[in-house]
Amino acid sequence: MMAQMQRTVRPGWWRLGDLLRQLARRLPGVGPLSKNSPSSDALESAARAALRPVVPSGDFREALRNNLSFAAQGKMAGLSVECPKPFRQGIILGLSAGLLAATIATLVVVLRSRLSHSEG
Amino acid sequence: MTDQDDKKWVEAAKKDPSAFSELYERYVDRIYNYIYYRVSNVHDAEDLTSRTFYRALSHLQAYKDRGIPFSAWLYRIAHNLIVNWHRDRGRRPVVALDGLVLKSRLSECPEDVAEYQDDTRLLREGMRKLDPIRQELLVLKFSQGLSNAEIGEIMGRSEGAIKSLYHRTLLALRKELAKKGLHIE
Repeated sequence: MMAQMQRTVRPGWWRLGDLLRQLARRLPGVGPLSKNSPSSDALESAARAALRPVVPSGDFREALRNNLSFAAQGKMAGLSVECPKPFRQGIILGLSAGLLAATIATLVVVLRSRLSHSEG
Repeated sequence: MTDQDDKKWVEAAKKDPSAFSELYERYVDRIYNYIYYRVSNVHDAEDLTSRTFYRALSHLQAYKDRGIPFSAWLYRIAHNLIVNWHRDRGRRPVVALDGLVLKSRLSECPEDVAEYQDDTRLLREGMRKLDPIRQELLVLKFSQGLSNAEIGEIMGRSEGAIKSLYHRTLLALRKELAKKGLHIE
């Protein structure tokens, strides 16, 4: 009797289990996104591929290593560590070039005026 | 690369700054990678990576291991510089869209490659729509391969909070992708 009841009920439970599994597959947005969810695994894999690790160029690595080593030596000597700022170097170079050009132009004007005075 | 090793090298670098080069070698790739995906271009990534290491070298004496590993301290320096960088430019932090490499897919047919490229572009665009904290979490999780506990140390949150934020981020990302017609199943 019991065995017959079990044989009758078991397929029903299995069918219900199947139905619930199908329902869960069709409603991926329902409930917390669990680690085991196949769709969350797919999204994680896609995100991992999209954010693939990148590395800095060899030249950059080498240059920064040398600069830091130089700064470390300076620190040992009691100097403060400061990141070199490219725009500051540009300003200094620009000012130097401008100053040089102005000096040359002044010299040229002065020399010409003296020449014209001596000729006159 | 363990926290114990880092501690040893940090103590050495406090006495002799030239030992800092070992810490640099350990972390330069990771810090660059983290910054790159937050600022979207190589030039600024290099500039901010330099500043991160200069600042770390300069402030190393002030660093004390009070439960925060050296790596998390370094990431926080980078994070603060990135925040300042975005603030100065008045821009919202974004995930980099360039630098797409079709690794191991070049042998496949052109249609597949184009589809893969398109999906990746949509995925990154979807990430850009997320708020900066969620973008940061995705970069730390996927590009850096860090655990929730490690991310918590960097972002100053508990492991549980990161786990919860991560689940919400995936849901938000899925929603953004659905708007663009991309369904990852």
